[in-house]
Amino acid sequence: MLRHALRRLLWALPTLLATSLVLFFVTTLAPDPMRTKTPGAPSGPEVDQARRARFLDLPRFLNLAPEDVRSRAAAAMAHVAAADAESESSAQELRRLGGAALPYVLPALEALEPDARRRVAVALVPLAERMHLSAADDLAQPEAAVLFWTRLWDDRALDFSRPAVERAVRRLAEHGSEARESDVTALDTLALSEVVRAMTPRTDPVTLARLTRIAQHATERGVIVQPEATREETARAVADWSEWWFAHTTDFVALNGASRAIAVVTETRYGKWLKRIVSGELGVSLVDGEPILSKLRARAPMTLWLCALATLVSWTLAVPIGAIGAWWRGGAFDVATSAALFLLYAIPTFVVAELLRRAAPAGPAGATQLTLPVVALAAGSLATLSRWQRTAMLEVVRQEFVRTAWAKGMRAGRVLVVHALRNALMPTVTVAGMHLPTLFGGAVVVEEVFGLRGVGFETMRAIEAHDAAWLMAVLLAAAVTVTLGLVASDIAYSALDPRVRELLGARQGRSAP
Amino acid sequence: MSDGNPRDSVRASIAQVGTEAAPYVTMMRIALVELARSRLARLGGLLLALAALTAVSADLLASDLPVACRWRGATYLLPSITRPAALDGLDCARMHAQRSDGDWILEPLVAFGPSEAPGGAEGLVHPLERGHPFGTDALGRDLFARVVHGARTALSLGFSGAAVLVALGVAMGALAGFAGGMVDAIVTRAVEALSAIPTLLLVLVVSALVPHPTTATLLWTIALTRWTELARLVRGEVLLVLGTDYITAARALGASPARVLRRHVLPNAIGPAIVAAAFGVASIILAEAAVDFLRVGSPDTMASWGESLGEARLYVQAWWLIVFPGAALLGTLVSLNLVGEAARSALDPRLRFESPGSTG
Repeated sequence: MLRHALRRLLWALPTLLATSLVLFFVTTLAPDPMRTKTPGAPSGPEVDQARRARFLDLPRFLNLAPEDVRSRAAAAMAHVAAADAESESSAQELRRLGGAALPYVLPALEALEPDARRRVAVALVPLAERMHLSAADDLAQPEAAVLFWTRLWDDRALDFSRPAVERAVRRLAEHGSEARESDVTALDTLALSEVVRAMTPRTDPVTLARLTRIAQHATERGVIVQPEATREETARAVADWSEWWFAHTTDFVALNGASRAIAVVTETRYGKWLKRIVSGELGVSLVDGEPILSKLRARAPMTLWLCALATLVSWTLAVPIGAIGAWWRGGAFDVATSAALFLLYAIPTFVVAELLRRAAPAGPAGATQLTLPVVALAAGSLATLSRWQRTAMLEVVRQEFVRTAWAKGMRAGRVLVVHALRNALMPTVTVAGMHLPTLFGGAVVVEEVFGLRGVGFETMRAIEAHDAAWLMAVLLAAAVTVTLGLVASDIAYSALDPRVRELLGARQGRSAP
Repeated sequence: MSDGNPRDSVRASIAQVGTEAAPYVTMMRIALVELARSRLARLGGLLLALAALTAVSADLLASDLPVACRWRGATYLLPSITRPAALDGLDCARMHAQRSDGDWILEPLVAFGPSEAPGGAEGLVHPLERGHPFGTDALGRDLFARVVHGARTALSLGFSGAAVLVALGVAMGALAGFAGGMVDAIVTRAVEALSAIPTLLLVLVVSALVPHPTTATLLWTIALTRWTELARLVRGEVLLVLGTDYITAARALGASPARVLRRHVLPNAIGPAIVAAAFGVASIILAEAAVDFLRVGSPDTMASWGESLGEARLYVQAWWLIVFPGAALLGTLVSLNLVGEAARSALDPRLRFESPGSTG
């Protein structure tokens, strides 16, 4: 039994992967800012930033030549050295890559022509200032700049090694001081990976202030957390930094060996997107800047209550209606309920909700607030579920064991409940999972009509704001819930039905399909 | 093709047996007779035909231009459809006012089009007032015209979407069942993944993300995701059929896989396809109405029942905004469900032999 449950769960994994592909395809429907050339639209670096945040600069599924800090630095250096048309923007790029590029730029200086060497050294001068290594005036002469950079590498190459950087940041995080902060500032972007990792919502405010100050100084972007910041501000800043780091990791980290091989798959649009979702980083809402996950957590209870209550109501009504209708099929009750439910089945949920909202007394409050939404949502489910129940019951009533029960002279009530209904419930339980998508869709409409502040209500606001992050999160949450619900009802079915249980037991001797 | 080919002689003898035997009745024939006999199916079909007729003749029922007229010496037939340039800026009321000798006008049933009247818009006219049988909406658009033209929007969208959906479902189901192995596994996963996504939510999200959403966006979204149930059924049918003796016989006779698929396997998919088509049309009409009701995406100038119902949310006192489009929507959905239900029970042999005539 356990084995069956585990196998069923395992089988849900490829399904979830397929779901992720479908949802990824949906995200690609959002317009690429590069392609929408409308006059007056932001352009240049802002567009680049927007594209990178959505990984639009990466290939979709396979990245055979993933870029990292080494390749970026080499390319930028080549442009600066050649003094070609792109040398100005390349010099900027070199400064943006910053300290992380030095271990690759400085050793390569030697191999350059003297003129080229001077150009690169001069291009790096603002960086020296940013790293608090020297004042710009001291390096005004190209010769002085070249001398400064070659000396720096000869003297301090060890400080730029990975263990040294890790140690410096660890010390700062444990016992922060001005001196240690300036140590890390001197490493510039080289320390970013450790610095961003050390930022967590639980880090103490003073350290967090130091860390964000260093990161802001090195990248010339983002926010600095003040020591007296509120908890929400801190959480938001940390989320912002980790999201930025996630999109820009390879700008400051070199890929080699195994990490390069993995990057072929992970440094892609789909890879990044999936990794972010699996690690629970769903981004920040466009509507109010709140992290998606905490917003989802805040809104989900209302929706889940709505769905759970509606399910409860519709089941308690649907099972007897369907069972009794099938038992006395063709009778007055069957005909009446069938006709009524058929009509109910055709009425869209939004019309039911709208009519109920009008019928409601003005300003419902308190516990009664949920009554009408639940009724509206249950109405749609009731029609579907009772028809399933009726069909299942019709099937069972025909079975031999029911006839046997009659033949033994059993009371009608006992035959109905013990022999027929119990068996007729099984198929309904299995298909109940299939009803979940309709239920979720209905919940969106019902929440919108009644103004209940659940997930559906927020989704409508997100649609108005074109908030892709929230919409994807909701679609994903719904799809995962439905998949797991289907698995659960499947396992429940095999656990409840002795025939299936036996079948599984017999099959377990053989190899799994 | 020589006479000595044993295969040909077998074929000939089989053909002979076929002609000698009693005229055989196909599954489809039984089902169609069954369908025609069911009263509820006939009711559904009648309602559906009525809706289709309304959709086709929408321009004759409600239009701002006449059905036929003679204007300034020229005769126009069906100007409501052809929209001649000479009648630009005119509508029935103005033509009556500016009429000169020799001009005549044959008005449609209701002399208003579904879009905004060019004259001053007077919002929310009660039904039966000022020539508006169903009243008007808040923009002064005639509700009768919007309901009638909404039928055109809904049905054309529903039927074209269902055509794509059915084609995809049958193709994928047959592919999965027939090819088996890896292809089957992939299609099955795709079916599971797609059916886990709530349709309405997906439609809403897609119309929010696509730069310029239209009704075609909605159509494709539903058609590309809702083929799953049909594919599952078709796959089941195919697997069932592939195990039968007549397939073995057909193969033994040297039928190519393509012939087996076309002659022996696909006819079994017609049943589920008809049922899926009926419910597919219903689900697309429903989704379109829901999306317009929630006012998602760009404001569409096309008349739609959902849009009128959405307006009813804003003007609670205007009961006609919910009654007439609601009745049209409900009637169409009921008729489609009746036809689908009847087709389902007519095609299910177990239900048929157990209960002659009971469909509903």
